[in-house]
Amino acid sequence: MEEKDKILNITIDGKKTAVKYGTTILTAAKRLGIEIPTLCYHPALEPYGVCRVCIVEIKRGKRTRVVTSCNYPIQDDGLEIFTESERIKRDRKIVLELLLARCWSSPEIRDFAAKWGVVDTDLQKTENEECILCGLCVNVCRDIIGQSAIGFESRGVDRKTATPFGKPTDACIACGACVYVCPTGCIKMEDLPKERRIDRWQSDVPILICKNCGKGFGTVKQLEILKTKNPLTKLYLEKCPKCREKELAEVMVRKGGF
Amino acid sequence: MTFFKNPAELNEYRNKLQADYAPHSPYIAVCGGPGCSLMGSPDVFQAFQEEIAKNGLTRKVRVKLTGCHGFCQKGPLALIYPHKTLYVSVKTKDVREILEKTIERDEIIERLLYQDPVTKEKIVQESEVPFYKNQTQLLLGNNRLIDPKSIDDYIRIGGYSALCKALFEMEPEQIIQEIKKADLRGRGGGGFPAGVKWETCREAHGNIKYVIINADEGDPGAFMDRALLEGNPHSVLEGLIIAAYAISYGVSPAQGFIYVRHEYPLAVKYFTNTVAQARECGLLGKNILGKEGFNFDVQINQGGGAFVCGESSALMASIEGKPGEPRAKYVHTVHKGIYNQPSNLNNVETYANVPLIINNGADWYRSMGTEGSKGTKIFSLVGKINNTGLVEVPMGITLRKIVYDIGGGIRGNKKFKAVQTGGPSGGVIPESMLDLPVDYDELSKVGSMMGSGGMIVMDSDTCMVDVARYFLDFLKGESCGKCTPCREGIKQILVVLNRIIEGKAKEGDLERLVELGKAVHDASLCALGGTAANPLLTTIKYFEDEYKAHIYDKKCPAGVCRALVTYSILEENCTGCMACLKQCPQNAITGEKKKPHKIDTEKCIKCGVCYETCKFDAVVRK
Repeated sequence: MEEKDKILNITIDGKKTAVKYGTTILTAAKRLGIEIPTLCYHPALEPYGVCRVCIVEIKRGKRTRVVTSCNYPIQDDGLEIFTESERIKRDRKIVLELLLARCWSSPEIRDFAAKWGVVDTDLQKTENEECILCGLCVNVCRDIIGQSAIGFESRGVDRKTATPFGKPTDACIACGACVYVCPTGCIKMEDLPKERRIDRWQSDVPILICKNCGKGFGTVKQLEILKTKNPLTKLYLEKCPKCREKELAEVMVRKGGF
Repeated sequence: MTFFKNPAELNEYRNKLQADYAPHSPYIAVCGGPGCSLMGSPDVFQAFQEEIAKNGLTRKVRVKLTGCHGFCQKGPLALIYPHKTLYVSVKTKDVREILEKTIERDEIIERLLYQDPVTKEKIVQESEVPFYKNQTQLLLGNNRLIDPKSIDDYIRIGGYSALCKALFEMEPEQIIQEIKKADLRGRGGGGFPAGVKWETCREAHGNIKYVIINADEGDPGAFMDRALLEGNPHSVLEGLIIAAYAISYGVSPAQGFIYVRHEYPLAVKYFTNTVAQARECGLLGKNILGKEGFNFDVQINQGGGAFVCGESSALMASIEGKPGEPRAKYVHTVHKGIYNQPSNLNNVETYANVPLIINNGADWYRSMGTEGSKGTKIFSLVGKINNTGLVEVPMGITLRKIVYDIGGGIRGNKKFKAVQTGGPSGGVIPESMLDLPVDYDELSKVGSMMGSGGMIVMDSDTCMVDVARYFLDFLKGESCGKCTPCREGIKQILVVLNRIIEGKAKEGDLERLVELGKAVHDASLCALGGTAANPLLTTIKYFEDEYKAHIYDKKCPAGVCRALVTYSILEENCTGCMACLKQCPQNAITGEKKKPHKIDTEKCIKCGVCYETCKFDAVVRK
């Protein structure tokens, strides 16, 4: 039998289960109804494993170690996993405190930390920082949208997300995927009458006007990209979703169904 | 240069080189290592060349600017064969005299000999100098004999004979078994068995095997790999080619890389030259030495200056052209490394050991070292020690032997306090553990690590809280910032440490430091973060009292942390010489001639100039 077809028997917090080789701990735990906190995990993206709040303790033979559940592929039969061991509780509390100290001004992070038992910290707090550097915006822009408009800049405590050289970039189509995945809501997007603005990336992109109703929807650059990747006609793409629906409904009424 | 179509041609060429060599005629090896170079050895070398030419001695005397000999403290070094007379601190003005007396008349120049600081005895032969006497220089030893730019020199001393043996007398699996039997462990820090790594890489599924040299030596004060690359680069390349053959031959194609930091321009230059020579000689390229189907070449990659790029996954990302950041290694790089293909990464020193093991056999190699660590290890011995330099010792030697017998003890007859091993993310080992045998497992057991081989000796004037702060500050700057515990944790540890050093410590700070340190250790993504807390946790473990003195008594016992120190003048010792008064930059010292002086603590900035200046021990630091 190929390795990837193997079924492995494991336990999570004492509950026995069987999983396919390579299943992540997070997925296996979810199936058992065991909740593990996550921040930089998004089901649409490859796990990045950097926020470290999803840490769990694993035991193989006599050896125990701390791993991140979002990207640890289960490869051994008999693996024991503990999501709430003393060591994990202590380490996770510190990780949450570190995030809380960094993003004290983010209500989302304060709520998240509170949910997992950390309401305050005596660590040095940073003012006006809401980004936890989870990388979801960077990864969604590269892996899902295919634009790579943003990336990381500097290293260590100076690390931040930015456009190349911190300047406005043509690569940003203001699709808003980064805004959608951001767990702290620190990327703000605003639709003005004529353009869509994402301040964080200094992006101002003209809004696409519906050929039918004249209302704004999406951005002109989004359309340009979609046209190259999509078999749908330009005529169809240039109408807003509402008008598309309406048109479809009219056709159906005329024809009396599909 | 000759192109060798088969091992016989290479052997024949070596025999010819050896026959032409005349081993008994004088040869001067001027050390061109980084330390000696800074002290002017290239000028000394040039002076030798000029004088030799001027006096028509070119046929009689050979002189070479070689790689590092190790004894940096006494550079520039000149080693004179055939008697292996060692001259230390050689200046250009000494050159003519050396040629006239030592070379022409076989006389010794007393003045240039090494003098034992204890017995005051002058030592003639290099091997009798205590610094060298206790070493086993398997890897560094050849540095003296060759010009690192010359493949002929390397071939002459037996170079590439191990490659011939590996390619034509051994099967790839046999080589792997030999390396496994020799128990060669990774010299880069982790100490993972190289043979096991090679075997896993050979068996891993993939279209190509990448075989990589890690020469991204980033620890402050460490230059072991540099000494090998700048002293004997062909030995490293030979090890790599053997590894490539063992890992790939018969299963898939292979490609080599060396990742060398750009701050080592000479290493880059020499290795580039080495690779070019090897290609010309048929030691790289297609059907190497006539071995059907063994094709291998090496690409040179320069690191951009990030410490974290010494970590395997970050190094591989960097080779791919991506930002040098580590990734989770739950699937190891031997399975999925560069471009997701099986990749074998070893350190420079690991590869340099390979030809020795192939030539002399695993049993010979196993005869040196301890149960779990075999062979020798190069350390860079620095800090408050009399003999700084590179030392190569058999595994299992005690720290005491390294510090006192080889290192010559603590500078200025001060008291030994601790030794930091394993670079910035290693740990601190106190005096009570000086008899610890140096091997991978023993060092980890006490909370430190072998690391790549940095060894920083500290004396009683060193404050351990300050040491922890220094290393964590280094790591804060080198953290890539990808994961939370390393990026934020090190920063927060430093906040607490700075508070302690400034005398503003709070109740519970010590416990908080331990808690933070453990979380950074457990939860970080890569080994840099995982070991970053080592300097903190080991200083707390072994010097807890010193932390407590800082936190509770607001005192720095070593007198290092300015905010916790006060200077005053002992009236009975003060002669009123006014020396301190004149030196004080703040005019904080008042007094008249021949009357005891006083320090105004309000004005004093605690620079310590008065303390250094006073010849009568009248200034006290508390």
